[in-house]
Amino acid sequence: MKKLILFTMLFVLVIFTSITKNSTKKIETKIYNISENLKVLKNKKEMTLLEFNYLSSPQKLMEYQSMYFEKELKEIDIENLNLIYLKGSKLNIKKLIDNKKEDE
Amino acid sequence: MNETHKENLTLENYENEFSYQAKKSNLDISFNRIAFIFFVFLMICIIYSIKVFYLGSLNSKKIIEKPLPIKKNYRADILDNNGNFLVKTVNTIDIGINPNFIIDEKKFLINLQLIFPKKNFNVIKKKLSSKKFFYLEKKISEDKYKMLRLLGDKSIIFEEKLSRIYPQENLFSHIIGQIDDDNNGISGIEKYFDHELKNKKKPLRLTVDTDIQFLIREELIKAQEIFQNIGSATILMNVNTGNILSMISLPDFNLNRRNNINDVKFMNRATKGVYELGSVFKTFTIAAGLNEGVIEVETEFTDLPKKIRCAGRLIGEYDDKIPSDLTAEQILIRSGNIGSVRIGQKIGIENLKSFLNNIGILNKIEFDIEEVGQPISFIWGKCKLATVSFGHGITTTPLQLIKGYSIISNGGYDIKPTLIKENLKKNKIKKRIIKEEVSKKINSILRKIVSSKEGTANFANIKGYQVGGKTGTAQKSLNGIYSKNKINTFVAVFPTSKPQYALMVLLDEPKANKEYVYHYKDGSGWKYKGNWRNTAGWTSVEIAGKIIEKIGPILATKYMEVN
Repeated sequence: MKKLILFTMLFVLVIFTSITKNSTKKIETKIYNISENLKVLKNKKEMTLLEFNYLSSPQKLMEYQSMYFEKELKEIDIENLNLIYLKGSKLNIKKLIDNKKEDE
Repeated sequence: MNETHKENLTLENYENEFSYQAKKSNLDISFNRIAFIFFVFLMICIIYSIKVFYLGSLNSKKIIEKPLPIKKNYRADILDNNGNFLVKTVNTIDIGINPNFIIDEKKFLINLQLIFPKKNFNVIKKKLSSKKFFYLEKKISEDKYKMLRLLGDKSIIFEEKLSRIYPQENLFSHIIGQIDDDNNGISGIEKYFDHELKNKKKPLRLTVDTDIQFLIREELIKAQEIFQNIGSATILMNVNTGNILSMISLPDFNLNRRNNINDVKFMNRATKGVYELGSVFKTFTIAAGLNEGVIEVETEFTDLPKKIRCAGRLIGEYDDKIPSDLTAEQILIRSGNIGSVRIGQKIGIENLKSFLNNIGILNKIEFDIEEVGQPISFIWGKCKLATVSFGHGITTTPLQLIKGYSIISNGGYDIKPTLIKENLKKNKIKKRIIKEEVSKKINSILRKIVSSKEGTANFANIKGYQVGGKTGTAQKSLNGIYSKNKINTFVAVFPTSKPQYALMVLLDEPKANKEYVYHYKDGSGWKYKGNWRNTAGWTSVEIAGKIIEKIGPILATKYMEVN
């Protein structure tokens, strides 16, 4: 009887191990495939970003500006810039530069 | 007759030789085996436990310091402060031909002609006949690579190579530097961080901003057209963190062309150039005087002569209109040479030397690129003290100059200029080396140099930014002899109420431009043409003003500190 129980236990364990191993192998294959796909996507993303960086570099943007727009770029006066911020639930607006602090 | 047989029965003690003994021999053997195996396992356990304890007791830093195996054909990318690519590594394939492995030359050439129709095949035929290895094409496209692979010819050799692409071309040439064909850095960050770039998994992130760098470079190129200078340099630095937002040296070069840069004119003037920078040093003299407590801002210096003689050499004022009676503050505002000498004499050699040493002017600075200049050492004496007080007879690099100004304006805290974003933590531990009140007083004087009529830097008075700063005009020395050529420098600090940025503009050998129209920044709307003065106030300050006007809105919004 004891032998039977021992044998059954061993058999069950062998079966269980092989099932686990098999499913692990499947998961491993899946992980490998996904990581390989990720590598490709990451590479694609980086190359796209490189292209974007080149095309949107300040030098290129200035070239496009002179090619496609007649008007010159307008310089921003710092004194016209406002700061919007939340104080509690209230939205506040204040000047970015405090003119009173100007010492001249 | 009955004979009685007497048999003697002798009873002998029978000694049975059999005695039961448990056969122990086998048991002994198994027990020994088990004990032996147990012993072996125990020893293994002990050895591994010791190893585990040893590894556990090691500092994590020590493990990191262990050199990592260098990956072949790998080099980390470099990004700017906003995550834009400054350098991107791309793996490319070079195609080589080994003529010895060609089976059918005719067929081979036909196949190649289909893939490379524009190639000169007469040349290739000649190369094939020489039976020596040669490169057919370098950095081939993916399509051509696939087609060549499909040929399955043994004579075609595919060599994987590493290429660096620089989308910003010239913009960061002096900062990034170059690599050689064997993936070794030969200048700039590529050289200084060579090992890290070969092993680092993540890209190296810098503190520089592409947009700001571009705007400043544009202004420097314009300056070259206006003042005909042979070169220029600028550094924009956060005075509180030491982060360098922009660093330019002109002339620069296109990194994508991979030229050999040996000409001295391509030297990184911002870090490698060692110059006498003139009156910009007066700020250090006044700051040292205030810090040592030998002068106050209001301390009066009376009867200052127009000229003094030291060791047979004349020291004079650059402007004869400078009054004879001046306060310490006025000496700095009006850039008085004789007044600065007097202050220097009050401070004394040891104190001034120690002050300049503390703010990092006298010795070679530790920085993130290889190209760093060594200030020329000299022997201190009475005359040296006099000339050093107004910035002559002492040399340093523009990088060290801006560091000194940053320390003086940030409240007196020591900082380490850096180009690497990860180094931000290093500058978080603040060590005060100058008194806070000295910093406040100097900032106020620097503001007056720009905002008051007596000051020498009015063209940098850009509305809204509270610009302060000091000019420096120095004669350029060649082999110890002063020439007529000049180095015009301006260091700006803004906003002076709570300094955040320092900007250094250096023009190498500028010339006065009489055709250039200056716009006064005092609110009068005046224009002036026909300038003949070749001083920093009429050259570097004008360019610094233009730069602050352009980059100011970016700094005020993008880099705004939200409390």
